[in-house]
Amino acid sequence: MSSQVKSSKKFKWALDFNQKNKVISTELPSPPGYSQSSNASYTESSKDTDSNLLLIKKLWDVALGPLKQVPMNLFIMYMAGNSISIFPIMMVGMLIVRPVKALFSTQSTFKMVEGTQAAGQKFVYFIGNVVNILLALYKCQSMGLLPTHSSDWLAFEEPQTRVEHIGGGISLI
Amino acid sequence: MKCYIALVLLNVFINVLCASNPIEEDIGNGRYAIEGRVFPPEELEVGNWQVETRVHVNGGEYIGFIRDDSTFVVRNIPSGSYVVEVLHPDYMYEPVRVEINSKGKYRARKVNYIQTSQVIQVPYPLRMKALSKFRYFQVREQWRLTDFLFNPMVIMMVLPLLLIMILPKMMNDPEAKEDLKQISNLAKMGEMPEMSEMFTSLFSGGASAKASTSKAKQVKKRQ
Amino acid sequence: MGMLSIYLKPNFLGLLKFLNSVNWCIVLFSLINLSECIYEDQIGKFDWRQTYVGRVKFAQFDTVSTAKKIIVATEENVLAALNLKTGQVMWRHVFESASTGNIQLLHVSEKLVTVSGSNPYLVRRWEPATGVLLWEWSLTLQNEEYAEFSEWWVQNGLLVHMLPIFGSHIEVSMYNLMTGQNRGSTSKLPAIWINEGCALSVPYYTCISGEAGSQQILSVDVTSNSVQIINKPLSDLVQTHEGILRSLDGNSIIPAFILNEKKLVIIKNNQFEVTKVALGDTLASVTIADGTGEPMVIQTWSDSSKGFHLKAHSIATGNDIPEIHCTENIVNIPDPEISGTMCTKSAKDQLVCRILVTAADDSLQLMQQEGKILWSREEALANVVAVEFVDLPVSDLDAAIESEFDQKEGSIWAAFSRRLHTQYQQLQALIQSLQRPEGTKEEDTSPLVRDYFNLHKIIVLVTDVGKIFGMDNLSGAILWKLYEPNLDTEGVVMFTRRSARHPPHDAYLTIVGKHEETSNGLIISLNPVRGTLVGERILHLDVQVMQCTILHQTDNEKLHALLLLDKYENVQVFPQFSAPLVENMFLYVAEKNTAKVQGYALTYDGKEVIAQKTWSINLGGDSNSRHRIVKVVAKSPSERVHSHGKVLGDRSVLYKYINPNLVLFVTEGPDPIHKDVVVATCVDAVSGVVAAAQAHRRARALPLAVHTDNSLAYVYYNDKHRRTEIATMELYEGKQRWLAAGAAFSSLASERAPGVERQAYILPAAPTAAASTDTERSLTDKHVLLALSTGAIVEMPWLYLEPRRPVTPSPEQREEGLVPYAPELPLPSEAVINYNRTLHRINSIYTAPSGLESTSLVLATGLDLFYTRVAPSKTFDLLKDDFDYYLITVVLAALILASYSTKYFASRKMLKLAWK
Repeated sequence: MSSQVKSSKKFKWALDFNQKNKVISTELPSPPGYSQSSNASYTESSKDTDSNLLLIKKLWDVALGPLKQVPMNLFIMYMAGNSISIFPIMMVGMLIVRPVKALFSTQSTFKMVEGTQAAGQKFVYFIGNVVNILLALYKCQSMGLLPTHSSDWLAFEEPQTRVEHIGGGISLI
Repeated sequence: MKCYIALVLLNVFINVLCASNPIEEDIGNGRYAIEGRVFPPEELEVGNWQVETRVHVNGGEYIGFIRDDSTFVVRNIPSGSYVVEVLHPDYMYEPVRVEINSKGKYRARKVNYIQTSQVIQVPYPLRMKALSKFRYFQVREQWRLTDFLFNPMVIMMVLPLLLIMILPKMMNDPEAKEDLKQISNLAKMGEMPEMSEMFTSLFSGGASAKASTSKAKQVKKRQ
Repeated sequence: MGMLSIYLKPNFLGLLKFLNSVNWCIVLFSLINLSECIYEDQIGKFDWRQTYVGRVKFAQFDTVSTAKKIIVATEENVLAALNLKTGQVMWRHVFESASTGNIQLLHVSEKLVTVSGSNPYLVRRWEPATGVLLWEWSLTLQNEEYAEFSEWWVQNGLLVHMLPIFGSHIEVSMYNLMTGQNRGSTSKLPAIWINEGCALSVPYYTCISGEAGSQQILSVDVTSNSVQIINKPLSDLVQTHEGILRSLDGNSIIPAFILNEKKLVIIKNNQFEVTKVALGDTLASVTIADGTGEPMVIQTWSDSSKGFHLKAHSIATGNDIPEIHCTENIVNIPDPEISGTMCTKSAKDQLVCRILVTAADDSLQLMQQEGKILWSREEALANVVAVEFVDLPVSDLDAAIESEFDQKEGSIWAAFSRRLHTQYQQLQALIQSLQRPEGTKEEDTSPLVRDYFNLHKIIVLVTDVGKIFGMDNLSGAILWKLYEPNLDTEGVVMFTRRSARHPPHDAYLTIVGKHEETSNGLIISLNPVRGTLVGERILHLDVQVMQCTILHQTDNEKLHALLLLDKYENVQVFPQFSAPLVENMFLYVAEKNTAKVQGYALTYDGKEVIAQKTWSINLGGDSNSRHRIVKVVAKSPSERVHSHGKVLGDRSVLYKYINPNLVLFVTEGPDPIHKDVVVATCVDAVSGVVAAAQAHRRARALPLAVHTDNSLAYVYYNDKHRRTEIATMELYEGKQRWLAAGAAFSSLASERAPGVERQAYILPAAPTAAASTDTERSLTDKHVLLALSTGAIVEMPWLYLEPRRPVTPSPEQREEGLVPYAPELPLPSEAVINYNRTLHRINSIYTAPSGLESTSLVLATGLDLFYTRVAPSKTFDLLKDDFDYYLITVVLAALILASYSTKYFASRKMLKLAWK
């Protein structure tokens, strides 16, 4: 008897399978580590719906990626400056090429999408990339690279032709 | 009447005197001479520099030549204002403006085309010193090692290369690893709420909530 | 790391901003660097200089000093020493070009003495070996009217000046050569018998006087104390009743003269003595030289049959001296004149003579006694009047290629077969060139062909004396010469009527001048590459030509017709059958002394071309204005304008007013209030409309002006401030175009006046010539080349002459690159294109485009000729001279090697890591 009492005190994790009370309880004891209180807040979704939501969340991450890039691009544009030299040109090139490439690979990024929000996500992705491209074009415009003024087309104008011809000078007499 | 006759006689007398002397003096007829001395640069002291050097008055209107004692005289110049230049192919001399008024007084001053009335007097008879050698040619650009090393493009490429090689060695240090971990922990604190979470909840908010509650009921049932 | 970047960022930004703002400053300083100058190792690579002295007036052999030389004094007022063996100029002194520099006497004994000037005279003594001035003194004559008939010579260490006053007496003054003291008063020798036909044979002055039939020859020694007149009736010496005297050339050692172009009479012992020597020709040049012991008569002449003749006779016996006899067949010395002789005895006791001959075409030759020419100098090139650059023809192979592309008709198969054919020909040519071992023989006989960059051209020069030269521009060697003695080159005009770009037709050049005696038109047409006469050849017209031009349209042989407007306002067309092509052609004639300009319209009415008067302008204001035209400049007819406007700093365009028919007239005239007025007027030669005008008061005009696309510049001397100024004008349409791009510009249809921007700048030097650089497509900047009296040619960028230079530039103006205004133009020594090779008396600069767009060819003429190449925007279409091929190939090879080796080593390392 003392050993039994000792055993119950010493081993925290020991279970006593002897039942003193032959009371048949309808309820089973809770498994080790289980607490009643966390029942309400614990929401466990089944495999299907849980993974679906995760996928959608992940896809939204991807769709919002370009828009998250906008502040960083703004900062890069600001740092690069308005002069024409190798560093700003490289930066502008990078700013244009990345969204364009992303637009072309839209299909492959959204390959695994089946969910209902696919269209919305694609649209947001598309909009994000277009905003990036517009930013890059604005940068080009402020650097003066876009041919918006008539002075840019001056070199392509046809030369003037003449109708009358002249000759002469001081009288030779 | 008497003074008139006397005047006529005086006139005739003067004319006769002048007629008998065919050579006129240089001065007194309105013909003056500009004199000066030229000091060549030291390298040319020995040699024939007098032949290569010319004296031009008013851009070649009167030309003077340098004698072997390095003086020059330009004769038969009427009164007026003249720019005197000493020309040599290799050396530059500063031009001087010489003014001779009708009474024969000389004044030499520095040439200033913008402020033409400015007078900075220069001693007369003129003393022309060689100022400097003309620099006609450009020096060819030499290729120097410093140009190559301090080129910003080179620095931009070489520096990251060095950093890439040095950083892994720094990473291997355990202390550095702990420092980095702390920094990244600090940085994480100001994290914005995930936008994707927001959007997800926004669009699929209804569906997910229903799904989660149904799951919970199922779980409870099993228990 | 993040902390560091936070601190560095603002400074970096600030640095960027600062650099942006001083951008214009950097641009400005890089421009001021003015690196248009060449490198020191490029001297002589593409420039050459030729020095001339001019037509020889006096010449003497200087055999006293060690280096044998000939001292010459020329009509161009140049005193020079020529090397006896080579004819090169050893030293040269250039006197003033006005009459104050005229050389009256050259005397060589142990020292060299010259008398120059025209009352007052300057007597100078020089050291013959080096040319250094020893001393000088001045001499003024009282009697001004007859001063030009005075004669000078040196006798017994005294300078003798003789002034003949025809019909009364001779005034003789003698001065001590060393000190200039007058030996005594002027002696007057009464000689009523002197007239204009007298001949001087030092120291005797010989005349023929009296009525026809009883004429007498009189001669007097002007230097002797006793006045002894030798008097003989003419009939004693000659059979005819009339007598013509001519003096001898060269420096005759015995006083003598030629009577009636047949007999040679010497004066000995106060007697006339007729020699037994007969003159070979009426125009022969005769001199008496010292033939080492006995005096001999040398004469030379040239006739149309045999050419050049050279003969010598002994005076005592009259026998022919056989050693001096021209054996060579020389035909190209027209009207030779002996300038000097020197005879010595060689070691073998043979007579060796050197004879200096000047010809009517200003050439100078040194001959040996048998007529062999040791050297010759073309002194006509000291007076070049007109210059034209002519392209060389293409080689046969290139011509074939060009003709292949010229043919526009034909199907694809025809073009293909043509292409195969030309390629087969090229292959053949290649095989042949490889087979030939060295091919040096071929190069001597191959004709001149165009090089790849079209830098090799032929320069055709027309000189004042009527001699035409064809010169190779790369070496300066004379390729062909043509002497036309009847050509009067005042106002001569040259036209390239066909370039060498149209095989099989050759190049065709026409020179329009005047006949020397009748002033009627004289047209010379020649092939400029070979110098042969073609087409009209030498055509003498029977009427005076007022003005001429060429038709812009070519006929089916690609030849431009020549249109001549004669004195009676009739038009002649050469060739005649091109008359129907005359259309839209207008002519303007300006009269220099009245400042009137008349415009004509040339139209073809079915039968002939008539000139209708359309407009006339009085540039001086009214017809009594006494203005005169100083310079007329029209745009070069082959000029193209590349861009129609200027791009401003805010990226808008300021359109230029490009009127190809504008002509700039610079006139000068007296003014009642201000002493002189210079007026620059810009007139459209088709409609007579004045586009722009500017007047400068109290100024004198210089005949220098530049007129290219929409800008003009002209030079004048500001009397008030006593400095030379350049005024520039630019014509603009404004911010909007007036005509659509590519539309045809018609002067008769334009109604608006352009806006004018004006400015004037001070030039701190005296310019003598001005021209603007010229390129084929006008892409490069235009620089104005100014020749200064100091002997330098300065290249002035148009950037400094621009009238829009602002006093305080705004940021847009800085962006555009406008240099801030400064009143004086900079003349740095780096801008001098002829570095230290000073050129004397440059009077014109000619420019021509080359095949390279960046390069313009420049020729400066005057007393010297100078040719060089100018690259106004630096040579942007060529690799630089010192392009280090070796370094680049070495670095490239090293990098390739490094990349492949690192790839190999990296793969090996990966493999090793994978196996661990």
